[in-house]
Amino acid sequence: MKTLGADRSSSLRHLHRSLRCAGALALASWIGSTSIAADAPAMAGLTMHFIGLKFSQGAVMVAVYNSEAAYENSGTASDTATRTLKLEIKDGTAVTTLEGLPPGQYAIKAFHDLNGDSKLNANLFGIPTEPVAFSNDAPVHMHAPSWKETVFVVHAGDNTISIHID
Amino acid sequence: MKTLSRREVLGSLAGIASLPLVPELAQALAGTRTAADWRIAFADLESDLPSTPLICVQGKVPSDLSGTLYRNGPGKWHRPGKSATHWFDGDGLVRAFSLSDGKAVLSAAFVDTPKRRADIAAHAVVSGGFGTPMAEHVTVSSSDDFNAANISVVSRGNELWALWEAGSPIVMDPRTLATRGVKTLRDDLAHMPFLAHPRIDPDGVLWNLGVSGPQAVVWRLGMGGDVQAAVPITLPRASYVHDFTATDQHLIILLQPWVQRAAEMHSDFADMMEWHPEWSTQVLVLDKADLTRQRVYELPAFFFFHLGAAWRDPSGSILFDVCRSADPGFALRGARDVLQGVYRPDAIPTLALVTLTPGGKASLEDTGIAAEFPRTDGRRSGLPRSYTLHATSKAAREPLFTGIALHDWHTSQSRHYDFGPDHLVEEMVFVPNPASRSEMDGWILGPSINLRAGKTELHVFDPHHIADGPICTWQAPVALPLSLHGTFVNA
Repeated sequence: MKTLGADRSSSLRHLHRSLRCAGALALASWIGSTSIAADAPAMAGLTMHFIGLKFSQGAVMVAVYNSEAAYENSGTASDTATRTLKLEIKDGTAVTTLEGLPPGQYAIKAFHDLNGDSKLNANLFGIPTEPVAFSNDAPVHMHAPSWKETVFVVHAGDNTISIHID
Repeated sequence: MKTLSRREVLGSLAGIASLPLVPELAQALAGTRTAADWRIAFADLESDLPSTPLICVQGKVPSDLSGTLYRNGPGKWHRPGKSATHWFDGDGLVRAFSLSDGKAVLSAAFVDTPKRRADIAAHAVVSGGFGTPMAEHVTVSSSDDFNAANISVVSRGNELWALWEAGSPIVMDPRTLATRGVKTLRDDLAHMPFLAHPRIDPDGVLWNLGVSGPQAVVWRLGMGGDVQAAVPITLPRASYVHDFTATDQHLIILLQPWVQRAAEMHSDFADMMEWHPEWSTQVLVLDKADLTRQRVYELPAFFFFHLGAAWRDPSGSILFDVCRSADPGFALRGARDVLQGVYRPDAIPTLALVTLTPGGKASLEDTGIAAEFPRTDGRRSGLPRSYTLHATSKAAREPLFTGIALHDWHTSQSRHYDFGPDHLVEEMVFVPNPASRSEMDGWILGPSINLRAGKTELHVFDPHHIADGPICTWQAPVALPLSLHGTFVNA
């Protein structure tokens, strides 16, 4: 597991922007407080399984967000992800565990970097040409799903999430 | 004139009692002939049609007419959980009428698209489309996920492409009609829109547009389907663009005042559009050699689907024909109603000629002739020509068209043939006689649905004697759903 460099963060920002371009209709709904309790007594672990990968080449690029603002603004702001990752693919899956996360609400954006160029490739109109995926397997409707559709809760202790990609 | 007694009348009727009392005869005798049921033109076909010989039911087959007429159109709309609610959203069904040695064989195959696979798996039309809402839970990462591949076909290299308009061509085997998959013309052009009405120069170079709101791409492809250019352009308006036209030097894009509403969620494409009759129809003219050289003309508001090939006259004016309507009523209502078995007479599109002068003036002359599906002699595509072949109708008793016509723009004469109310006529194409270079010297070829017989027919006309009716007609054992557009590929 490696930490993403600036180019990867940029690619994930591009993911959101591209999907917005595709539909130009992305609407996010405010779902209330997304802050993480300041007095959280224990840290959390989050194991992420990316499953259903049809192709073994390339890597799965992941960005984890801990607030709606960070998630929704990731198309325009500088790096707003709390964690960014590049995962190897083995037997159609990519797995990793994040440790030391404050319990709270999170959302994940990911794409399968098929050609290994660390970028989310897109066509002339900005439509991604590499597979994208989101936490909760939130469906893509010609635009990226909103925080409301992708948010999930990480509790103190061990947590697991599976995301289909490809 | 002899007056028959009641006994003689009864006797004459007794004489025909042994004849098979076909429905037409029964209704004629009863004096209550009912309208043929046009709804079979919009009924599901459940499975592919294997290669089936057609029967020549009248006329003499031209021995030198050899090749395949490929046609496409929606062929299945209904599924148990949810059905398509718009004619344009049925699964693409490609039909091949193969002609050789005076014989005709028909086969048909559904295009095996990701959309059709998703709908089959869900037992419901979940993928949405032009006028059918998309189900909530469906993932759509690009328009190819709901690409119905159901409007037309074009031949490039050794491939037959089933065309939609908001996504990629889908490659089919021209011999077996087996689907080979989504066409990626170049890696960075995957899932780009590709209209179903490309313009093909006489030398075989294919020009096309892909349009998504105000974004567009101008495609130029070689004979083998190789991308010679794919140039992004920005349109002045986010109009619905189904067709465009071209001269040998220009691309002409009509921007009708049916435009996308901005930044709102909509259930389907048609619901996203807004009609502005108070606006003009903009005509954007681009120089093929330098797409940055553009000019915009203005015409009164009208709605249209289809244009004829354009040409330049000696004065430098650009001329082309359009089948125009007063508003998008058919796209919004009529094409939904027909799937419900409902027909409400609506404004029929009429044939008009547009002239764009070098001085910047645009004018439109309407013939008042009912017209759709305009086709021309492809050997003169972009060059001066006289004739436009189109579907037509004498009366609005049933949806769409019952006849064909050939309009001569030089003489303003229109010759037509009407099949009567028992037929729905599909788009017909011109097939050149290889032995001649004269415009419209060849055959007119296309199907109709014989509603009374419940069978698809294929007709051949002599373009110079259209009013005489088909010189030959074949009949299939079944009726396939009404198709939209096609192309003839020489043997």
